[in-house]
Amino acid sequence: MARTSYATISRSDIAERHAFLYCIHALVPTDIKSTSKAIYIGQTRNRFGAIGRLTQHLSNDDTCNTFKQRVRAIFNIGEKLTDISFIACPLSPLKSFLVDSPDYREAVEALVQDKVIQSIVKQNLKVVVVSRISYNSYTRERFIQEEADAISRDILTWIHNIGSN
Amino acid sequence: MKKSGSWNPARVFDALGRIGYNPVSALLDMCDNSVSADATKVRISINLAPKPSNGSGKTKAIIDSFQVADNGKGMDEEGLHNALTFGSSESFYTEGTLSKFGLGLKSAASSLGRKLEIISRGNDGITRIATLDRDQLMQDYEYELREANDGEKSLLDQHAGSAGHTGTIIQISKIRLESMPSPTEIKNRLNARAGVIFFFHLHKNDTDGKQALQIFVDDEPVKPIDPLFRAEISKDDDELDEASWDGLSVKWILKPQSIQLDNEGSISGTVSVVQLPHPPSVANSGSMTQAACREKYMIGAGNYGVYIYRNGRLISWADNLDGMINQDQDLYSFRGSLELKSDSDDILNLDVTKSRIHLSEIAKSQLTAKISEAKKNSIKAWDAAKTCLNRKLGEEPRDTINEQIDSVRKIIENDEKLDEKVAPPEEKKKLEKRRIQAIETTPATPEEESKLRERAERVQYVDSLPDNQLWQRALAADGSLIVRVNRSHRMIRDVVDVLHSNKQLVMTLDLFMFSLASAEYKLVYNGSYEERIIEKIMESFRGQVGDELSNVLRKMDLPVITGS
Repeated sequence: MARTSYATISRSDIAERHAFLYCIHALVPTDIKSTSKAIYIGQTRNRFGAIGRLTQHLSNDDTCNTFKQRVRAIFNIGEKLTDISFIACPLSPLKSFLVDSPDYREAVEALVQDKVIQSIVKQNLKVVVVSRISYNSYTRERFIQEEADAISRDILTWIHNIGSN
Repeated sequence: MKKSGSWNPARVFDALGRIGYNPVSALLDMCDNSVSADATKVRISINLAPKPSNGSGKTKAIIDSFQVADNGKGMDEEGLHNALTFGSSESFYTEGTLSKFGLGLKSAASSLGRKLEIISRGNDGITRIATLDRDQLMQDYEYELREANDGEKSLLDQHAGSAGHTGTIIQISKIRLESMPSPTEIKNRLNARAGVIFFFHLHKNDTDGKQALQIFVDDEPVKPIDPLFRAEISKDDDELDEASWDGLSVKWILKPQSIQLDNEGSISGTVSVVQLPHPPSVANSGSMTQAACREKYMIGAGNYGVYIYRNGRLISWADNLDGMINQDQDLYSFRGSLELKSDSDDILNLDVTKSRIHLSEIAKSQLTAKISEAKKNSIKAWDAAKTCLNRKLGEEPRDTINEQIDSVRKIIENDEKLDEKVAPPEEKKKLEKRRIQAIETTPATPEEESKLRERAERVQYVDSLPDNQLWQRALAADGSLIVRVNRSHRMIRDVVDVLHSNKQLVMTLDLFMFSLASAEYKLVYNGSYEERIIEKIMESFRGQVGDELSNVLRKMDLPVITGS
């Protein structure tokens, strides 16, 4: 049983080519007895949707498994991640989010990560955010801020739920 | 078999004095002990003695001793013993203490002189004096402890505030004069540094509203100085607009934000960044000279960077955060702070002098993007202030190219109107319709029209354009053409802005942008295709160009983008 993985997916459109902001939550073993909780926030417009991007993150392909690479860089250990949870929030169907260049999606991603870190620190949730972001001027656009507000609320509620389960 | 090792206390004492202190950092490290002992008054004195003439006939003042006196809670016999122990017990350190390894007092004292005396009165009311004299240290580590005499008690009373009050005097004599700066130099540096280093303590008021801590250097009170000058930031207009900053006031680049420091997410710090005024702009406004502005805001080569505080005490002055902040004169106004608590000491590998930290990987990863964006905005704002000033002085390259484009364009637009006027009725009707259609489809805003009228601005940089377009054309009501350029686009932010000092390039790019808009207008106004279709194709083309450029630039490793 210990080698069996379970996944429950609430909606099938997670596999569609749409613009998503997503968050991965996992336990990272730091030594024999203890684990740390790590989260990774990202954006994607993957051909196979957010679930396709998750597959890449968990794969052994070093060209796209950024989550595993960040865990390696920060915890200085292998990648035996367990209790992986995933949330994918579709971005509003605006042209800005659907174009190839990720500037607008990255602007939302940067604001969401900022908000999530502020909230985690304030509430002392003991979860470490391992993803990296890059800012751009679109973070000042109202529609980007509104998008980030709504998504960060969803992600924070989800993190709380994981913590209380 | 286990064997006891041996050590030479005199040599260890000397070695500790060479771990990186200078006279100012050593004296201020002693102040830390006073602050940790809840002192409300700390007095640093440099006592001088005449050095006999060396044949020149002139007497020279040399430093006889240093003294740091306070009215803190003082020490009893056990406290004094602990103070003189190498690696004193952690149990004496309370939360929020400025101490760390139990070596600070001994090593700071050793860097200044060879004799350390501590006169102290703790809660037991007995005044004691402990003396550690390096010249008396032989094979064993020994110090002398005795009850203070009346003269020593009365000296402590003066500093403690009243007879019998608790307090401590640290005195260092047998000064190591061989590498000692002059007394005036030390005093000036103490005055300049102490106000910044203890800003949060000096700035805080106690429950009665009185200043909670006062520090004096030879009777002169130290003024609290916030290196970020946060109190000057206007509450109504506090955020930096890097595109139009006039350089006259302090602005937030990054308001205080938490970052995580450890791998468990339980230890955090707070980072903030401000933009300080641009001295040439301030001087031009007449409010003060450039030199006065630089002095007031400490704007200069050694002062830009991040000020790192631990438990409210500055531990690193203008730190470059492991190379995140590069040497660049355009960053002179960049000033950040990173506030930490002592719970992060081990994570950040705080060193014995408590002046250097090494960022953890998680701290680095969360700080890098923030600092990099803040730097970009600071440089841009500095440039905007220069532009604003150059404009006042009539030396702005964008004004020059706009004026030239405007004069050429006026002739072209006038000729078009004349052509339209003399065209056969059917063609005239068609051109008129297409012109009106073009104006209605892409009208200039009233603000853009006034910039065009007042400053002949044909190329107007705007905060953003839809769908990552790099440029967009607009027409004033009279048919005058302007081009909007998206300053948020990666091409402008990462390439053009970085090359801002190249005036010829700035002018050429502006001309190029205008030409793109003018070619579009030509197609719409007197092209042979249906104008609505052309408009649609052009809009799609602009979005596609913006998208492609952004993607290509992201993948390229241009030195202008990476800053290498």
